Amino acid sequence: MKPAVDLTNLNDMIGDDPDLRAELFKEFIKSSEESLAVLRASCDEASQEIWRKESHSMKGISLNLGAEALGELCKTAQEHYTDPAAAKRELLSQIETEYSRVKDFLLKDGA
Amino acid sequence: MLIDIITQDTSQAMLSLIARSQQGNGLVSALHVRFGNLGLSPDESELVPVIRSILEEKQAAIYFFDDGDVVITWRGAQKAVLEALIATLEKVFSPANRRDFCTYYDIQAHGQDLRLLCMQKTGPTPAKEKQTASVVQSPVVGSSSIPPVSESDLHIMEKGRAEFQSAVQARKTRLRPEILIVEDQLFSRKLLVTMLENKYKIHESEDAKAGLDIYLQCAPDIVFLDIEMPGANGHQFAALVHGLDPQAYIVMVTGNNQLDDVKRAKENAAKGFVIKPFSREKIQDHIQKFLRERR
Repeated sequence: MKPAVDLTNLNDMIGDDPDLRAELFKEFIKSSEESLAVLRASCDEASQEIWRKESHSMKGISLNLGAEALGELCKTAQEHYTDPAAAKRELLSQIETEYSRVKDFLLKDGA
Repeated sequence: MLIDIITQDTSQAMLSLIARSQQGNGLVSALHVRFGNLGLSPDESELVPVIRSILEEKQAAIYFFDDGDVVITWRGAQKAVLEALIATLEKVFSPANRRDFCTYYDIQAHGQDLRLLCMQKTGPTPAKEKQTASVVQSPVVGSSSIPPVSESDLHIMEKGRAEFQSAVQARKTRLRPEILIVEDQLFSRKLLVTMLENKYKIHESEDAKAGLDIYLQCAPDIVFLDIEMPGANGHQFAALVHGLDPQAYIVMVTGNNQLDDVKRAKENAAKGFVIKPFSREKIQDHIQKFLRERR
C-alpha cells in the first residue's frame, strides 16, 4: 500500500525545518478535523453548499500536504455534493478512514 | 480605507442608486432579487404591497430593471428584516432555484460613499454576469428624485485615492518586490509565506475584504489569490482590483481547474493560474515571469 503522504513537494517548499514542519502538521490536523466535523453535520440535502465548500477546503490542504489519496476523495466529495445523504455518509466514511492513515503518518512516521 | 463597491455581479449603476437613495450615514441593506433568472417581471402593483408589508417604516426604495431584476434598499441591517423579506418573496414568487434568487449587501454609508461590510449570495453565480443595469424606473417607495446614473462614479473615495496613488508610485521604484497572499486556509497560506518570505516582502490576508484593504495601502507587485473563500471570492477581488489598478499582477491559486474558473480569471485579467497542489517551481515561475515583464 502506498504511504498516505508523500512529503517530497512539501519538503521542497519549506526546507529542512523540523519545527516548521511540526507546526504545519499540527495545523493540518486541526483544520482537517474541523472540516470533518462540518462534513459529518452536512450530509443532508439542505446543506449541499456547506458540504461542497468544506470538501473543497479539505481537498486543497490535503493536496498541498502531499496526501494525494485523501485529496482525491475530497475532490470526489466536492463533485458529488448533490448526492443523497446515504451516499455522502459512505464517502465520508472513506474520507475518515484515509484521514486516519494520514494522521497516523504525520504523528508517527512524518514527525 | 473606504471604498466604493463594485463587484462582478453588482453593477456600478445599481450601487450608485443605493448611494443616492440612502443618503446620510449609517447601515444600509440592499437586496438584489433575480427575477430575470426566473423569467419574471413583477410589476409595481404586485411587488410593492409585498415589500411594504415588511419594510414600511424603513425608508425603503425599490428599483425595477429592464431584465426583470429588482433591487430593494432600506435603512438598517437587522437580520430578521432581511429573513422576513426573503421568506415573503420566496413565498409569493416560488423561485425554482432558491439558491440563485437573491444577493444581499450589508453596507456602511457615509453620505454617498459606501463600504461593503458583507455580501451574501444565496446561490451560485449566474452564467451570464450582468455588466450594466439598464434604465431604472423611479423608486416607488421612500426615496425622492434620483439623479441619473453616471458612468464616472468613482471606485475609490478621495480619502483613499491619495494613499493608493502614493503606493502605486512607490511600487515603480521598489527594489524588493512585495507580494500579497490572499488565502483563507492557514495551512496553505503558511506554506506560501514560508516559501517566499526570505526573498520578498510578504503581506497576507485570510479573506478578500482584508486583502483589498492591504492592496490599497501597499499596491503589492504580485497577488497570489485563492478563489473560494468565505465572503467575497477571488474572482470578485480580482475584478475589483483590476478596475482600480490596471497594472495589477494577479495569479489565481485554486484547487479547482474548472473551465469556468479559468475563463473568469482571464476576464479579470489574471496573469496566471496555479492549481493546488502548488509547488516552489510553479510559484517561482510566476514570479520570474512577472520580473521579466516588469523589465
